[in-house]
Amino acid sequence: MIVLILAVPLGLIATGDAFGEWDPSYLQQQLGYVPGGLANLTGLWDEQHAPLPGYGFATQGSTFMEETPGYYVSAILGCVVIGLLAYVGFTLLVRKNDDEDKKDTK
Amino acid sequence: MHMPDGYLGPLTYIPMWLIMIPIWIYSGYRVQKDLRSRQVPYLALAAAFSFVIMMFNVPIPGGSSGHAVGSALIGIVLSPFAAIVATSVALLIQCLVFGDGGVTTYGANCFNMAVCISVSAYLIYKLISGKSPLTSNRRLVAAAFAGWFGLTFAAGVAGVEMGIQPILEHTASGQPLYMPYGLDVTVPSMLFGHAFFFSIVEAAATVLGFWYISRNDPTIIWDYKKEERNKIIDKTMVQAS
Repeated sequence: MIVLILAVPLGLIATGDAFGEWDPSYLQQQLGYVPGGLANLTGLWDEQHAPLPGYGFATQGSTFMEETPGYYVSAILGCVVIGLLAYVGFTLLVRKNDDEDKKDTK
Repeated sequence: MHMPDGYLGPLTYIPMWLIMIPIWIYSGYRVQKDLRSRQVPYLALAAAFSFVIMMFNVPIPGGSSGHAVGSALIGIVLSPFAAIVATSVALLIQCLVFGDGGVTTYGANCFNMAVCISVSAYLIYKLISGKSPLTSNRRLVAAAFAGWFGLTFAAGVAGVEMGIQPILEHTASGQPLYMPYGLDVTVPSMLFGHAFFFSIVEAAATVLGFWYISRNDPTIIWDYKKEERNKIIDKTMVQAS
């Protein structure tokens, strides 16, 4: 896992947007318009509420070096939060089993 | 495949949310039934692992990029139900904290990346591995192909969800309201990028992970005991005949 986290900036080298994940400005450029519903819903959450949009502190058009620290922070923070959330969540789910197993062995 | 808010209209994103609710509930129930505390650290690790894998964007010809998800491996080793829960957690944090994937599209994104990948991968893995021993090469082939198929299939599903938008929801004059490209563009684009590139990464991650686990700690594999029992039953049947 540690190796993976250290290697995370490699994921920054690919600069193109994934298919279907484009910024509305790209659509404006490609089609000459931005679909109405899309314009309404874009950024519904991430514009005001996401603490680390785009996995970092950088803005559109920043360089690899500028984005890397943010990417590391995101990777570590994400792993910790997700790991903890999953750990607590799964523990709550399977907790009942240990009690039942103990009852069987008595 | 993290569809942002705006690419799916309510006619699609609402049903996708509604489909996920019973799936999440049932997955939680199956996790409770099939897994034990011993596996919880692995489950937490699996969720975090899926998140990190998704940070590795792979560039492809044409300028687009994508990534593997890791749900296939989790589905095979810890059960598709655990994979659904673990991946949904990773996707939730990605959406809320990092703005990767929208809130309206969270249901659809979970269906594609948490459900489609893990369930189809597990089924393919079982189909190909049959009753072969856990450490056999056949199992490795099964794991690799399962990873490849799972991600590709999910990509196709996402392509369909996006591609039907122009037909489903548009203005009176016919202009699309959400994803503006139709099935003729979305499905081939999603399938091409994933089948030839990102799914290869998923296959590699799946087979490597499975190789390591089957040889170092096979007892955490969720249906391990069933597999061993089958082998013993087969042996006794052969001896009896």
